[in-house]
Amino acid sequence: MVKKDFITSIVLIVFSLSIIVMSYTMDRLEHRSIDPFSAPGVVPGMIGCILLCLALILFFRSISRGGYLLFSTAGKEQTLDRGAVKRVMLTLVLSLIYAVGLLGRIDYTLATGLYVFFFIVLFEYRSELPLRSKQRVFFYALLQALITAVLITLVFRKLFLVDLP
Amino acid sequence: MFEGLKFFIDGLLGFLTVRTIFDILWSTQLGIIVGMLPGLTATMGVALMTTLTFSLPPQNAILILTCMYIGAIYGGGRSAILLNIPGTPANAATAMDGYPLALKGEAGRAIGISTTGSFLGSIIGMVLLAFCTPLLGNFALNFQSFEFFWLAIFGIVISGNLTAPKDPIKGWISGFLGIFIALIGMESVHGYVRFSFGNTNLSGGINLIPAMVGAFGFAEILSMMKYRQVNVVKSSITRIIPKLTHIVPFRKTIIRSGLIGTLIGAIPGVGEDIAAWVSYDFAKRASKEPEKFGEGSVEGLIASETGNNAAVAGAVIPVLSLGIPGSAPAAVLLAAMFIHGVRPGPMIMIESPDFVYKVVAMVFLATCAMFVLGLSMVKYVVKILQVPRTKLMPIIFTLCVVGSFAIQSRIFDVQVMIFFGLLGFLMNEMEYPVAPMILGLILGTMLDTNFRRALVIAEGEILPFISRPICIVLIILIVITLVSKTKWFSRLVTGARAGLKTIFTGRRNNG
Repeated sequence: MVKKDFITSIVLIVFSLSIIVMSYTMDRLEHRSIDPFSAPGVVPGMIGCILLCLALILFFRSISRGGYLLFSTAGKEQTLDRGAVKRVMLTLVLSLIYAVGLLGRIDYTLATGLYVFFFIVLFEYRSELPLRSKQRVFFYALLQALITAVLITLVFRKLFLVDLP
Repeated sequence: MFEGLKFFIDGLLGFLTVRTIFDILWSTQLGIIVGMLPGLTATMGVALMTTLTFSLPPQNAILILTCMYIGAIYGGGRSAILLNIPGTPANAATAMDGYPLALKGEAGRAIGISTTGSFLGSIIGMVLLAFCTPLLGNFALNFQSFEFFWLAIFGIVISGNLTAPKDPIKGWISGFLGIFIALIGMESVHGYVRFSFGNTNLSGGINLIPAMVGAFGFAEILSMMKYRQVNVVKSSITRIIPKLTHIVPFRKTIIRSGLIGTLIGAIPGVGEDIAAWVSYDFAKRASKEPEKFGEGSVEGLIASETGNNAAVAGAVIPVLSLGIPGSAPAAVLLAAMFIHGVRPGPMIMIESPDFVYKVVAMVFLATCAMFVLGLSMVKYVVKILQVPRTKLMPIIFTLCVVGSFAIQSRIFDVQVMIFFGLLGFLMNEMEYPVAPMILGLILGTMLDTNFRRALVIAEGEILPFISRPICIVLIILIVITLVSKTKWFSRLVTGARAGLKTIFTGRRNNG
C-alpha cells in the first residue's frame, strides 16, 4: 500500500495546492463592501490547507516506508488480478455506454434492454460452451432484457409517476 | 416524558390503518431483500425508495424509508450467514460466526438468532432514541455558529478515526474531501458561485442522493464484479424460530451490544458496520468462551446483529436533534426529510415535537414487521440469493440510474452518480473509507456558513472560537480523537492506568 500511498499523496498535494491558489485568487466581493471575513474563498482556502497538511503527512510517511521505490520488486503490493481488472473494466465501459452514451439519445426502454442484454451476454458467453448453452445464454439474456426494460419503465413511469431519462 | 408517551401512542395509532400496515409490510420485506442481495446496500435501498416515495405524503414516505432502512440492515445478515458475503457492510461481523454455523448445518438456527438479536437491538435503540433525542435537541439549542463549526470538524475527525481504524489519516482526508465537494456551486452567504468553471450544472452544487447512489451503489457493483461467482451454502433451513433458552443466556450480551450499537450509531457518520464490530469485540472480551468466536459462536452472532440494528435507531438521534446523520443510510433519510419539507435540527423539539415521537413509532412498527417477516417465508426469500450476479448487477445499475435521475430529472445527476461510483471504488481499493466523504458532503455547507458567520460576529478574533465552554469540550474531544492512535498517547494512557492502579490498590505493577 505504501507505493499507492506515495502516488495518492502527490495527487492530493497537487489537488490541495490548486484549491489554495483558486481560493486565494477568488473574488473577495470588495465592490459589494462585504465583511472580508465572509469572503467566499475563506473556507475553501482553510480546507485546502488542511488537505495539504494531511497529504504531506501521507507523503513523508510513505517516503519513510520506501514508497518512492516505485519500480522496486521488493515488497510487491497486492493488486487486482488480470481477470478482476477485466471484469471491472467491462462493467465500467458497459455502464458508461448506457448511462452517458445511450440515455437521453435513444428511447429509455430500448437503451435499458440493450444494456441488460449485452451485460449478461458479455459476462456469460464463453466460446468453449456447447452450442446449446450458447443459445441458452442468448435466450435468457434476451428474455431478462425484455422483462427488465418493460417492467422498470412501467413501474416507475405509470405506478410511481417517476420521470425517466 | 408523559407528553412524549402520548405523542408516541398517538403516532402509533395514526399509523394503524390498513393502507399503512400494507406499506410497512411491503417496504420492510423489500428492505430485507435489498439488504440480502450483495451489491444492493441499505443506503442504495433508502436512496432508491426516496425517489419512489417522492409523491407520497411526508409521513408515509418517511415511514417507508425507515422500514426499508431497518429491513435492509437486518436482511444483510442472511447473505452473511448463507454466502459468507455481507449483504451490507453492517453485516461483516455477522459472517464471522453466522457462516460457520451455516456450514455446520445450522443456518436456520443462525437466521432465527440473528432475527431475534436484530429485533432486541432495534428495540433498545428505539427506547434510547425516544429518551436521548429531546435531551440532545434541547442541549443543542445552546449552540451558536462557533459550536456548529467545531461540531462539523468533530464529526469529520471522529468519523474518519472510526471508519479507518488502521489509518485514520485516510479517513480524515476522505472527510475533508467531502467538505470541499460540498463547497462546489453557489454558496449561501453571498450567492457566489465557487469551483464551477462556468458549468451551469456544477453551479447548482453536487446533490447528495446521486453522490450516495454512486458511492454506495455503483461502487458496490464494480466491487462485486471483481469476484468470480460464489455459491450459497447448501444447508437445510429447518427450525428458524429460536427457543427462549437459546436467547436468555445471552441477555447481558444483548443489552451491552444494544447500548454500544446505539451509541456508535449516534456518532456522526460512523454507522452500523462499526457498531457491529465494536459490539462483537466487546462481546468477545467479556465472553467465557472467546475461543469460539469466529468458529460459529452464537454469542458473537447475537452481538453483531444486536449492535448493527441498534445503530439504526442510534443514527437517527443526531438526524433529528442536530440535523447531522449518524450513518450513510441515515444521511439519505435526512435528505429525504428535507425533500418532504421536514426540517430536523435543534429546533425540532420546539417546532414539531410530535414528529420525533412519530419517528420512534415508525422505528417500532418497522422493527415488529422485521421480526415477523424475518421469521417467516425464509426458505422462499433466500432463493433470491441464487440469482447469478451477472443477471442481477445490470438491473441494480439501471436502478442506480433511475435513483439518481428521478429527483431533478437531470442527466448531469447520472454523471455525478458514475463519477462518485468510480471514486468510491478507487477509494475502497486504496483503503480510504467512503462514509466520512459523504458526511463531509452533508456538513460542508454547515461548516462554511457557520465559520464565516462566526468570524464576522467575532470580528476576526479567534478567542471566541476557543473560549466558549461547549467549544472547549469539542476542541478537547477533537484533540483526543486526533492523537488517540499515536504511540505516545497509548504509552501515556498505559502509564496513567498503571499509576491509578498503584494509587488505588497500593500495589506496584511490575509488568
